[in-house]
Amino acid sequence: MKRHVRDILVVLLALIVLFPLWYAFSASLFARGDFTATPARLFPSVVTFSNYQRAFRSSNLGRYLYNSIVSAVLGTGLRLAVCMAAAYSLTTFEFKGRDAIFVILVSTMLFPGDALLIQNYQTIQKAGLTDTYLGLIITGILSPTAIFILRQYFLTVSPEYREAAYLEGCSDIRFMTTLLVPMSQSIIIALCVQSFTQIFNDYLWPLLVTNTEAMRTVQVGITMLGFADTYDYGPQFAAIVVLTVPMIIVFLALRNHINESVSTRFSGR
Amino acid sequence: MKKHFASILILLSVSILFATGTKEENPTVTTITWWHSNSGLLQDATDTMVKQFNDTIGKEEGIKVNAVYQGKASDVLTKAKAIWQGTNYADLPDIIQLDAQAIMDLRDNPRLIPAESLAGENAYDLGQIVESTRLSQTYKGKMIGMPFNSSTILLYYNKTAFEEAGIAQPPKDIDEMIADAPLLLKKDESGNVMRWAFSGVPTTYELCAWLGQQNGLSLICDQNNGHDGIPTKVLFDENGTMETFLAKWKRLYDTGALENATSGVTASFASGRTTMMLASTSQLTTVLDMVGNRFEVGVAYLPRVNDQATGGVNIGGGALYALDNGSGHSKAAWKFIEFAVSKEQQLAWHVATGYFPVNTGTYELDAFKQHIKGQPLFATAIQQMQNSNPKLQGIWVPSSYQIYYAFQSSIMKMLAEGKDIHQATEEMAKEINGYFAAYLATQQ
Repeated sequence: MKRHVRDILVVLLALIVLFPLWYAFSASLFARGDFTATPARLFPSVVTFSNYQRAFRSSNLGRYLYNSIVSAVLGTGLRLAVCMAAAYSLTTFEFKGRDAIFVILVSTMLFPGDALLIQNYQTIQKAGLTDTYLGLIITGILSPTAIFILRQYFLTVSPEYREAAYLEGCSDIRFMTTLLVPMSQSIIIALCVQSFTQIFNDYLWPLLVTNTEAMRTVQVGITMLGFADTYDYGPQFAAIVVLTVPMIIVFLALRNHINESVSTRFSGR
Repeated sequence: MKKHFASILILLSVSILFATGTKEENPTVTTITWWHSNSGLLQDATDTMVKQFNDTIGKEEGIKVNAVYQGKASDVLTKAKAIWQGTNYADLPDIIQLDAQAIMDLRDNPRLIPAESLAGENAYDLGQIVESTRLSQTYKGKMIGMPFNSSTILLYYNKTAFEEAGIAQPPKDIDEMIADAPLLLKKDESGNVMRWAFSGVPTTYELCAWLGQQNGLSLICDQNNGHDGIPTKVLFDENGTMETFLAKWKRLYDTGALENATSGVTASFASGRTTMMLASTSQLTTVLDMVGNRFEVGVAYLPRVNDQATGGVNIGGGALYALDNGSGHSKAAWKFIEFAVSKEQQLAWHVATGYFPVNTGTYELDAFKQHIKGQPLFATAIQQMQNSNPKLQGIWVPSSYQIYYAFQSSIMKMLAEGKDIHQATEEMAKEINGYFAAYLATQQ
């Protein structure tokens, strides 16, 4: 009985999560008038792929998608490398002011990112990094949230592993890459997914630091489709479906790890 | 034949000389950057205009315009603000297209080069710009931006539904709306409304016209509606315009055929769920497109508040502003601004977008007269603008979002809770005066 209730709940939750995705897909096939039909439509009146054609024809969607993927992959890789090194030193080494550094880092989590937007922009501008991939990602490389999560996880790894590795003459870098990374695989993958989607979905920052068509990202590109001003949402939905694809691929590829990380975190290991 | 050959040869050599000559004068092409928020159809029209400039005048004068889409109008402003709050102005565009939301950030900005100053330096006659649009950009007596995408409010109605209800003419004033409303209202057997007569809640956009048009011309706040400085108080409570309007509006609500909708009104109109709405003239193309063959769309002047409300409607939309980014290219930027508001370009812009021409010369062009003959709805929109008092202007106020919601929620509350009109007016005035005071305090 209890099991049935749980199953029904899970199915209901899944429907709530899936509905917008499915609606976006359905709407990407809508004909023009379908958006203003009464009662509102859930299915297209006729299946047409013209929205996809229009989305690609009227903008540089391929280039924007490429820019988004490049910045999301680079940004995620660099963020993970920097944050792991930081978390490792904060858990492994004893040095003066270690806890103070950690507290300061964590307290910056209280600042909303938008409050720093303009200051960050001016810094990037002075450094001459507008219209570069580095400019797109550099302000996101140091993530206190990621450092915090990684540090908490590293603390659960028994120090005996490292001592044993030291005795065998293993360096810190080697220990991190060959032992610690595989041991914390699930948490790292969860952070990767979170970071990738966050950079990929960002709108205001990429808009600020890019001026040329060639450097625009896909979230900016979608608003350029502009048909929504005329209640012609089809091409925008088509573009949304297209840019959901990389996310779904990332998720499918890492599904097992994500599940594992969620379940280990919930079981309080 | 020989003679022809010789003259061609001379012509060619002269042109080569001339070409190299200009090259020496302009070793580099001056690039002018224009930030805008024109997407979709507007972006196509923008790109066409820029291409034409670059291929003609731009080529001759060594100017290349680079139009850059920078997101929605609010994003364009955010980005510009990020730059002018810093110290490195070189990234500012030479020309920025913004709407009324940006005016408080722009008008006293040291980076702004007032359009009237540039016009003076370049001996440009501002008399060719439609007076009401010119005044809509005037601050302390000086035109600060060049009106570019100008529009006004317009009544859209479902002509088919009106004919079915036996109504021959669209309403001239709110009294006629009140008379028509019950005829247009449709309910099903259980009493649910299937079709409203009118949908929408009047707020800043509507009230600028409905309060401003009263007694020929009325002000909504002091400092000439904010065009002469930061307003200190509203005037609609003192001059009685708000109460006059609300009394009429309440009677319309009491017919039961007015829907207090704050969003989705255009979609509702296009699907036939409401028979009248107010929207910008620039929406006309979109609305016609959305409605398709469902019914016949009619447009008419904004219904007047009463017989003394003869002021008409005010200008909305956006303008082109020249900015000083230290490049010293303002003369080249002005060349493009002149081009963008030339009578020919304004005709093309009007045909492509529905914004009405800001150059008086456009209205004299045969091509325009031909075009408008086939477009009676656009003709109505333009006539309404021409028949309005050019001095009727929108408000330039700080905290415009808060003021927008103050109007909207007070009017909705008054209708839904049956609040006294006088009390509602006093409350609105008090709330908005509070926003003015708070802003003034930050400026001292």
